[in-house]
Amino acid sequence: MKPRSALLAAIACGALALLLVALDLAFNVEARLEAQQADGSWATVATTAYHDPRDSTIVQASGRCAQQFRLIVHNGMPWASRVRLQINGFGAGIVLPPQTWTLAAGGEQSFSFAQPNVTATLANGTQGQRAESFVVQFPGSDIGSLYSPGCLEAAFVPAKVMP
Amino acid sequence: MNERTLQGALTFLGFAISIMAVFYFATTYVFRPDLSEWTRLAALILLGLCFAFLGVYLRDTTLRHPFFAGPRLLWLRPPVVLYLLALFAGITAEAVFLGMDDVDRAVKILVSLLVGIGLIVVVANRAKRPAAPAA
Repeated sequence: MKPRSALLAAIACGALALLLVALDLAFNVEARLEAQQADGSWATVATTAYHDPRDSTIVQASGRCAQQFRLIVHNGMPWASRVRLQINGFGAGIVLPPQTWTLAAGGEQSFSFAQPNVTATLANGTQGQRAESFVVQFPGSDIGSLYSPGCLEAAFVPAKVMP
Repeated sequence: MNERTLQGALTFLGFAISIMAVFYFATTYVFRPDLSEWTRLAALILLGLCFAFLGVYLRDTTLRHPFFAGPRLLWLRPPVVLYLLALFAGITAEAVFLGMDDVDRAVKILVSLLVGIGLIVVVANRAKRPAAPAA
């Protein structure tokens, strides 16, 4: 390999590495969780702005627990904007594998709870299980969850992640 | 201090400062928890390639000589330092790859074996064979 070619290749590789990191940090992945109100409209109940895992929002719609939720992922580079949504289901003494979806930027995942507080209808049709918590995990973050016995709580847990 | 030693020491200082800057960049940005694992992996691979190409470039320049005189430090030459940095970046990239959650374990093992054995085979094929002793 000619020295000049090697130098050009080194500069190109270094510049591309810097560019990738800069793009990833500049367009950090963001997501928001929405709950459907009684009138059918969608209200944001949690966003990546919640840095403190304890800073949760009780999801209610006109006096009852919300049943319809959707997670929307936006911003972020195509290769770097993966957000994992996890719903933990527990039966009568049986712990089910968590239901997990991984979304990219522009992705949207809806899920519902047919009977609030008691029964969760998950995306794959599993019924009769109780939704204990749901968790949104960002790349590199620890999984955390919040649980409210009275009503479903929603919280993001990217305390380590978002600047 | 003779001229050769002064030149070697200054070059070594320049290398040390540059390497510290690269490590500072890596710990500050590349290993930030909010950076995607894929970006981290790509950045480490590219940095490794960057070091390797710089080593190839310096091999044919006046900087190919050892930093310091003396038989024990003959191996310490700028290209060797850059090759070692490339090696370190490559090993770190492999560690990041093996720690990725998005990739299945079987795929990680398969890819790692293919890359590792592929590297060995490619280097073995490209290396010049030693001349056979005359009969």
